[in-house]
Amino acid sequence: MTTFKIDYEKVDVESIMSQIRQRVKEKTGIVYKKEDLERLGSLDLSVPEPPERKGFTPDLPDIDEPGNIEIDNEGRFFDLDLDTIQREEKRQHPDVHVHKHELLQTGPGLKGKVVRFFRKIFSKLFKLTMNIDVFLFKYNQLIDIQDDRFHYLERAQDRIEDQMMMNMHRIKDYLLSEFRVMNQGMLERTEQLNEPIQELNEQLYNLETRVNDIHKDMLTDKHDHDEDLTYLRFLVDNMKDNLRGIVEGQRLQLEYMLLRQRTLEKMVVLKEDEEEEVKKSSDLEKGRYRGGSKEGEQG
Amino acid sequence: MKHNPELKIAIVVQRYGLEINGGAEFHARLVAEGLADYYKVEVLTTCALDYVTWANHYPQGNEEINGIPVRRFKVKKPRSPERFGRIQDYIFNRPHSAKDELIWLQEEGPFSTKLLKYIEKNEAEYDYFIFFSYRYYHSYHGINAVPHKAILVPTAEADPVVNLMIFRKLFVKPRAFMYNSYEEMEMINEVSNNESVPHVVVGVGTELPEEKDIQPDRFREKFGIDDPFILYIGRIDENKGSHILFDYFLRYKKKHANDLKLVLMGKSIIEIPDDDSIISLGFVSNEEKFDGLAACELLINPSLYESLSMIILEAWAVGKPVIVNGGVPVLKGQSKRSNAGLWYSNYAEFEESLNLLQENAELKEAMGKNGRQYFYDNYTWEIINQKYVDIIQSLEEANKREQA
Repeated sequence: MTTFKIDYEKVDVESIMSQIRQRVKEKTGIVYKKEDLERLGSLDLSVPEPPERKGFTPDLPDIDEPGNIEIDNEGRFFDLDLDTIQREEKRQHPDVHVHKHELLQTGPGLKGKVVRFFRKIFSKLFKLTMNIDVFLFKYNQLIDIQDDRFHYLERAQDRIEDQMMMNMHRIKDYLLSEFRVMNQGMLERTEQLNEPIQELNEQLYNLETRVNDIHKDMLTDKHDHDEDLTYLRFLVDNMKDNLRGIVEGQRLQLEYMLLRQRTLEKMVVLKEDEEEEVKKSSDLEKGRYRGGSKEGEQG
Repeated sequence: MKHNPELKIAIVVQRYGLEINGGAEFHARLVAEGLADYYKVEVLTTCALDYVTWANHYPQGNEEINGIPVRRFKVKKPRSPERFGRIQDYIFNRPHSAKDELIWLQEEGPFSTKLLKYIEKNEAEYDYFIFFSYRYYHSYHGINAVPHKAILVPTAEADPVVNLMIFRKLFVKPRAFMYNSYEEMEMINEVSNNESVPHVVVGVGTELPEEKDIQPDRFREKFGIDDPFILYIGRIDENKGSHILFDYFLRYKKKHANDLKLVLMGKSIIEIPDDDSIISLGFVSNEEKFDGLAACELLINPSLYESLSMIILEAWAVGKPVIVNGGVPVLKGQSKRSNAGLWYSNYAEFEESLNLLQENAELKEAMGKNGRQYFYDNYTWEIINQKYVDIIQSLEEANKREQA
């Protein structure tokens, strides 16, 4: 191991650092041979293409447009408060039944008296031909049936709305989970890449040191190292490109994840659940009609 | 060079107050207080205290801080960190226009139109405006309003902001630049070709206690630290490289069964590993800071971005060597120029540097001595104030020549 040579009267830190680097080289044994350099230079560090979804054509925004990428997706979902979305209040329907006293109602004045007088005369004659009470009874019965049906439809609508709200909650939860999974994936990927990048950085540094050493040798030594030097420089550049590739790959991954996030927002998810719920609602409605008017309501 | 005490200088800075004890704002206060011995100095600033939101904290109007008149102007709209983050992400990662950058700048803030209107309206009252921190709204629009009277203290770090179009154009407008370091100057020269603008590398001094008031034993007694320790001072944050320091130090401790501790002073933003060898003291007083510096083996600065590390200067002022992150040109450059610091680019170098300084007391002492010399040659307030006076005087002479 090289021992330090230091002039304490006139300390030169550059000379000390050069001795430190020499000792590091001796200690770690990182003096690369040609084949090591070849191996390092040919490492494939390219990032695989993101997998494509079969049969899925996303409606994607133009990512190059300024301001088109929302960073705070998670925050946005959290801010979406579904509980504040209220269903429209049940409408109060007017009474459309026809009552006999209303049908025959007249004014209190002279005109009313005249009308009532003639009605008395004609009603007896009219009753000889048909009974109006039967019509009124049937008409009111029809209105009752119609009212019941209307009520059932409203109940069905409520249930569908409830179902939609439930699905919206599920979609929100699903998107949040998806976002967290992607976020976690991103963190893990960064964590995984951290070590090789640091290692590559150290290797790169050692290679550069080696290049500098050869360069210094060339200045003092008569030997011709041109070829070695060119080769080493090529490898250094190659490693730098690889490192840039990693960084660019990470950037692309991030962009892809952001795009996927936006796409998910637009997707109609949980299709199977939705279909099942629609089927349930439909069965429910059929059951109610089958049971007749008031029974259906209770069912 | 002799100064003209009748000149009126405005220090324009994003925040100002006794509560702010670090960064460009603290730097601005020290410069304002230093220049007050030479000129009529006034501070123009905002009502903000929080540098994340720029929310109004101080009342609008005039006050006096340490004898310096301060005019405060309200921030019209506080910064929304979320929106700012989105815009910044877009600006740094996608093709964009200068107009987009101006939108980013408005979000960056502090968005105080009253401050700018005051500068425009009262330009004639001041001879020079010294703007601190190029990257903020007040500096960009302020310099554009009064370029012929503007002096810029850029406090630039090696981050992507310096490459924005609007700043490349801005860097040729001020009358003069006061750089913090040679590395900062080279970086700005490179992006804007502004070498012809008068400039000086000046940095900033620090408020040192009397030597007799610095007592390492008092620190050890108060905090119960008997073992040797390396010291980190500053915000404990990823931007400051604290997570890398923890990683490296714990790896070091696994390999070396010694008593060395890592002592941290400063507010913690990230989690500190639960390990006996790492001691966090939180906020400490100025007295405790200097006592701690005098007691430590060395100071470590793992920061990933720096325009000038004042804490390194303070370590050197008390004769301690430093180990810094070699990936930051300013830190490495300062260490080289002073011959008082080592640097690392990976764990192996960190380990070797730390071992060397730990085991070699003679080297530690020699480097500490170099640091002290470097500090007293370059960073005392007399030297720094004189550099400001010289540049202002040279601008005055240039004005006279122009008038003639």
